Amino acid sequence: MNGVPLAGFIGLSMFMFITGVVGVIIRRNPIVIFMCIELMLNAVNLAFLAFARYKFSGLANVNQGAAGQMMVVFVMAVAAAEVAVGLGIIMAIYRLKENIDVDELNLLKG
Amino acid sequence: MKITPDMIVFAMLAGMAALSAVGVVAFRNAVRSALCLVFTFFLLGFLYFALNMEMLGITQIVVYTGAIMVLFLFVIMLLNLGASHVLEEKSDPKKVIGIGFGVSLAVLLASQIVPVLIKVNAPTAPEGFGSPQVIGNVLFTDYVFPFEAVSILLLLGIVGSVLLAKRRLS
Amino acid sequence: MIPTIDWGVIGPVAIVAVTGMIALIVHMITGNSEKNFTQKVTVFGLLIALTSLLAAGGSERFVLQEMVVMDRLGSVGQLLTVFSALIVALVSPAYLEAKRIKLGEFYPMLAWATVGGMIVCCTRNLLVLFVGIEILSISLYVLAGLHRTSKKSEESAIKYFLLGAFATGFLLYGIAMFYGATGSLNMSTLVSYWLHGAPENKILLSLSFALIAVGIGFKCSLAPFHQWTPDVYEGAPTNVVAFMATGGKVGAFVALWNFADSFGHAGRFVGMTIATLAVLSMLVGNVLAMAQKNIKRLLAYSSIANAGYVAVAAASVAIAFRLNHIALIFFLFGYVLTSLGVFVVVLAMAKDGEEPMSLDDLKGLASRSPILAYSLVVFVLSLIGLGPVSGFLGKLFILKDALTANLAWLAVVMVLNSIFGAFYYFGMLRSAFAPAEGDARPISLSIPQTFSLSVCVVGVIGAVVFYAPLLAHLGLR
Repeated sequence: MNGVPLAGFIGLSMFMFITGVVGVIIRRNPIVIFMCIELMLNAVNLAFLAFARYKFSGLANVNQGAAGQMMVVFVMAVAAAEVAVGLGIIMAIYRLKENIDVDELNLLKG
Repeated sequence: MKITPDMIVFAMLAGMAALSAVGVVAFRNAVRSALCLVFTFFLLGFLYFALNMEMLGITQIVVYTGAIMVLFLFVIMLLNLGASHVLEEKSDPKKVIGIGFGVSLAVLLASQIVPVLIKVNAPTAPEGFGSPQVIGNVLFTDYVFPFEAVSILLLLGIVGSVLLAKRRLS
Repeated sequence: MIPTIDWGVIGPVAIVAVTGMIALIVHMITGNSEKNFTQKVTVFGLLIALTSLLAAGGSERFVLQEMVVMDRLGSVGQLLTVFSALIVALVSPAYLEAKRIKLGEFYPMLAWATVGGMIVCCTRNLLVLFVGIEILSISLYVLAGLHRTSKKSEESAIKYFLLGAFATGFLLYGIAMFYGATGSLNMSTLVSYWLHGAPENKILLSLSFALIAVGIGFKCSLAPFHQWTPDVYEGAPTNVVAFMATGGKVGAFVALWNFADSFGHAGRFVGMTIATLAVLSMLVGNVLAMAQKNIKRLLAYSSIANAGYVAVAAASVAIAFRLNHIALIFFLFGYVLTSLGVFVVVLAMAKDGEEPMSLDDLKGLASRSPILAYSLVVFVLSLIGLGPVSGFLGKLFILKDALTANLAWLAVVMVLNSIFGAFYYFGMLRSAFAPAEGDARPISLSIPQTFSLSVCVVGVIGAVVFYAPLLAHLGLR
């Protein structure tokens, strides 16, 4: 992409991140909240890749500058594990309560 | 600043991605949110290609749109069969606070970060920077320790989800 | 080419990881047998890891460009993490039996959570830090929901999970900003960019610091990111909470300290921010704990207050360049042993699917089991920081650091908070020595329980008695 400033990518990434944050705050369905968290993680990935391309610092060889891409690889792997566990938890609570609204999770107060 | 064709393409992709990201939050039905999220991930894959990150663009589409979203939709369908009411939600008084918080955060960040980055518009990374070869090389040499650690993470993810989701407790 | 591996450094982590795998296989073969082979295998593996950690020691070593950094703090952190996992694995069978949770997968998950904590303790690389934190957290999410038939347990799991994943998002965005400013993921690159970098880098780094502070602050349960702590502690099974509060926190504390330390002599602003969080945590922890009737919630607020004390140490190191990590080592040592001890006492009281929930349930402890009651006295004294116990030493060293860093006001706040703390901690003792109500049967302790309890008591007192040799062994003199 010629001529596109770094700010374009970072701006999009921030917009997505903040949309995710707002979604986590205002939504009540844990599945949707979780989707908003995935949105945040994707915003992170976009930021990493944009920085990796525009602010490349691997002076000697290509390998040294690959930290940003590595981070994205690991975020994807971690997100996969997190999704498996998270949806497992949501299923478990649905089995027990037949309801998954987070505002009605009120057994723990004090 | 001169407008290049690439910028128009970027603006379209970014605009659609931003719009569908808003869709994830705004739709009241979980299935629609999920479909918006699929679309966002897909567009992000294209943006990764635009950044010359071929390997991660492919991975994005395979892992996120392929695996993770299927898992989401699968769970949504499972709940939809049992009780569709759990997927619809009532509107929430927290909405105003949440949106206000988001807008103020956005203004703060945009005013601080975007002006200082607007000058950076020439990529410095060399050609072939995002190829599978480079990623493989680095992953299995410098990053072999976190790579092994992630294998533990995936294993415990599998065991954990089975532990939580299995029906009969023996 | 695959780099050569320094087994002396990553050996213990590998041992614990493999222990988890073997325990899982053993569990698949033997199932929930009477002999409980899964637990025996786990305890054995953790013992080997503990021995290898004690045997290793030696100088500071870097492996793979700071991805693994074996320094004193890291090795002590690993030691404490493994130790708390060991104690929890020892006392868990009786508790799981009493609560009728028949899931042997607990032990492999515990081992893997330990792996996460150990990785976090020994790294200065943000990627490895992130992977370690996630291993630790994801296994704790699962463990919090271990009691599948209890609504409270499942509810605590989902709360912990959603908030934890949210905090991870902030941590990651912080790391992204860090990468944007420095082009690297090593914490050591921070100082030069902070001091000599372009102004844009400084803005990115300030933002990165704020976001990473949210992420790590959540894991340490520093106020105002602490809301999950009391709820999760109340709902999750107590043996899981025992690990969460000790082994699970050590890694986060060490990471906070390392991050503050990496600002070098440029950390005035960072130190003041962390100091603010410290004051908030101490106040929230100690003031709200006074209103609690539930033991686990009380301990949760107590751990928030303790996180505040750790943040005082971190703030001091960020401001006073090149402070020793001796204060944090002693504090963590005392904190882990003391909290483990309190949890062992609470766990030992669980019987027939019931466990002590409110402070009133502690009543009659002195007559039902004098050993438990008098151990509790030692632990409570250590939590307050009174008398010849390790909690006192840890707080003393942290106060000394705060004064070195010219944070006298922070030291005063900390002392005042310790005095507040005394009120509710003594409340626990008052209940324990009150006459029994209801169930007055004596509590019999199993051998592993007695062993764990005595190790904790000996450790808490021994840290003071063997103060000089301990310092010499740590190579700090």
